[in-house]
Amino acid sequence: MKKWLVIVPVALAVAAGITGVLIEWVYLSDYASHWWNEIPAFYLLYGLGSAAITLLIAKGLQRLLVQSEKGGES
Amino acid sequence: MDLQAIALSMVNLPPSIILAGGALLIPLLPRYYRAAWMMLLSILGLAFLWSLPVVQASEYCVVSASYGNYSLMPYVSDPLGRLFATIFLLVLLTGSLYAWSLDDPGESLGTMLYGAGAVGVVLAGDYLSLFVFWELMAIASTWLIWSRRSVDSSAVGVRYLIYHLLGGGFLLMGILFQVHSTGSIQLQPFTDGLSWATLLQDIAASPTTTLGPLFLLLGVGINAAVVPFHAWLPDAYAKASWTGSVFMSALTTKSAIYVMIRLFPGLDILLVAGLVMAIFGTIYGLLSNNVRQILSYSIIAQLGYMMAAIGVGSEMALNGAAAHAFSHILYKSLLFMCAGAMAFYAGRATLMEWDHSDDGQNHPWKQPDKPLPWALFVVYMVGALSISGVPLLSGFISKPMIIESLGKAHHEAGMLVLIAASIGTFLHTGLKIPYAMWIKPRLDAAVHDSQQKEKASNGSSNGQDTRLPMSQWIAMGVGAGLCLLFGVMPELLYGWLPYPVKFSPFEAYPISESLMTLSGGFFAFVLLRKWMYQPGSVLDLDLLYRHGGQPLRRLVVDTSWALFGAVDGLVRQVASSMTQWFRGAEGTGPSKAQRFRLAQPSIESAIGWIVGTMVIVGIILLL
Repeated sequence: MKKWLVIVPVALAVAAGITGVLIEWVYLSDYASHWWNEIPAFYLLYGLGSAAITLLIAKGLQRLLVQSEKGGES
Repeated sequence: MDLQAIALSMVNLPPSIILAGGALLIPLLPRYYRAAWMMLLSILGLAFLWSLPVVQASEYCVVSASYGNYSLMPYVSDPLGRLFATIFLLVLLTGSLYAWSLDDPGESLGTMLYGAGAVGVVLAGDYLSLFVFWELMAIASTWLIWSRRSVDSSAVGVRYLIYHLLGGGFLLMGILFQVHSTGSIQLQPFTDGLSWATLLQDIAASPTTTLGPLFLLLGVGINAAVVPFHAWLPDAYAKASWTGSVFMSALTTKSAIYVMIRLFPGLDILLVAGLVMAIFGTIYGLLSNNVRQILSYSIIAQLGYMMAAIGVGSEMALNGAAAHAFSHILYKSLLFMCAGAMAFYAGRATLMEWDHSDDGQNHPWKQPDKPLPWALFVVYMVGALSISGVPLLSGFISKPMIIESLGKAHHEAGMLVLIAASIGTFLHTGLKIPYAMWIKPRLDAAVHDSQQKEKASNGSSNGQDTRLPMSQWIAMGVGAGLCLLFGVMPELLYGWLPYPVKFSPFEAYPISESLMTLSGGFFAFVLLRKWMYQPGSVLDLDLLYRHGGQPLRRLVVDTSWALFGAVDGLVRQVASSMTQWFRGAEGTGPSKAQRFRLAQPSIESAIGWIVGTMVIVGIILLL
């Protein structure tokens, strides 16, 4: 049971990423509405990068804005 | 009057009057009939709303009256108002089903009056009707916070009321300035090249024409939770009653968005405000540990999308804002229903909580009281994936419309900001909450299995009801079904939008963009998920007002009290001297201690001061 809790979401995310890249490759190879459309799989990289940066900012603000409750080290 | 005329006038009955009139009967009804009556009122409201002919003109006034020299239009049916009224009535219908087992006639009454106020706001054609329904909404929604009857909710309710009365006061001042400068009380958009720069330039040259839109913007902005006037939202929605937060998530902010679309289409500052809200709500959602607080911050982020679209102001952008408000109400009310169900099973409203007793050591991943069922996971994920913009769900039919409208207006940086905010929303609503509530407890199950069994057996042996009421399951099922229905058949919604729709979400570009960004976000979560969880409470910008406001409070409140205290003391002294002079002996007035208590400021008098001062200032300026 436990391994499926990890395998299923990871498989879905991989499938979504591959499908997105394939759709872009097949249908949008000539599409260039914005400068970033020239970069292959831009949105995959942007998804990963912007999520990481957002998390980094949140992590940085955690010390300043989150008041830890009683219970132990946080 | 013949029967046909009576029937015709009945058809023209405003839905807000049906809801408000019907609400007055609620306290007289037995427990289970109340929810049925509320659902019936919502259905009647929908039937009356849709019985009117479909008018594609900009406005269609159904009911009118006169007040002095002004024409009141409390019921105007145009496509935009009807769209908002429809979704408000739909959420009243599903929310009433969710609240079927609620045993509090006061809360049910407050809910219907709140709904009446919200529906009244979006169908009003003049400022005066708008203001009356606006205030009804503020007061009735405060009752939903107080209905929880906890110490926290009392204080939160007072803070919420102060914010909304202040917002109402600004709205009233804006209305008075506007009526003074134009001589009309009809709601008309400020379309003549209104921009933030021209507003600020004109304020010195012609204050009476400029202050109207400024105060209106401020009053509506407070209800729309524009940062930095947003702190009431996560404060109140996380502390309201469980059923109350379902309605609150749908009505207050979205009626403000409606007024923004109506009055300020294309106002440039709204684009900036929207982008700030989108990022702010996302980051605070990542910082929060309370489920309803995370959902509240995600409301602010989603309102940012709508606000940015209103700032762009094109037909496509305004369609996007209206469509996103509709979709957002569908999935956010579903998510708040699920939050109530989660708390029912987990025994807490937080993701992480310190576990002090189980193994002698403090660790933050306290197991839920009862394992959360997978059926709840399914309905929750429908809402969470909708808000994240997954294809075939309701968020996907509106969010890309807004992003594309920014692209068409050459706001490429704005597009990228909104896409990043969308990924952040997926992180906190689509991954952080379900991981903490369903996945992590099961991954840790080996350690806690025996404790779970023990707790479960204790629960059943104590005779506690361990099942969620069927009405709540049905309500969540209906909510999830609506998210799917509109996601699969977007033309249903597009047909109700104010402008012709030239957009299809089912094209290669939005689908590819959505799948890739969500996939990238997922892997960032896998790698960095430990950063997202921290037990504790998050500090918001309201701290700044609370601390920064101290000098202002001292100046205004303390000076006022000192002044009135001095006048009061003088009057008492004169009265006492006169009494003594008449009686020839000392009077029997209140003691020193009683006088001290009487002189203390109360919250009621503070609210009275705020509203009263604004009304007096407004009237003086109008005259």
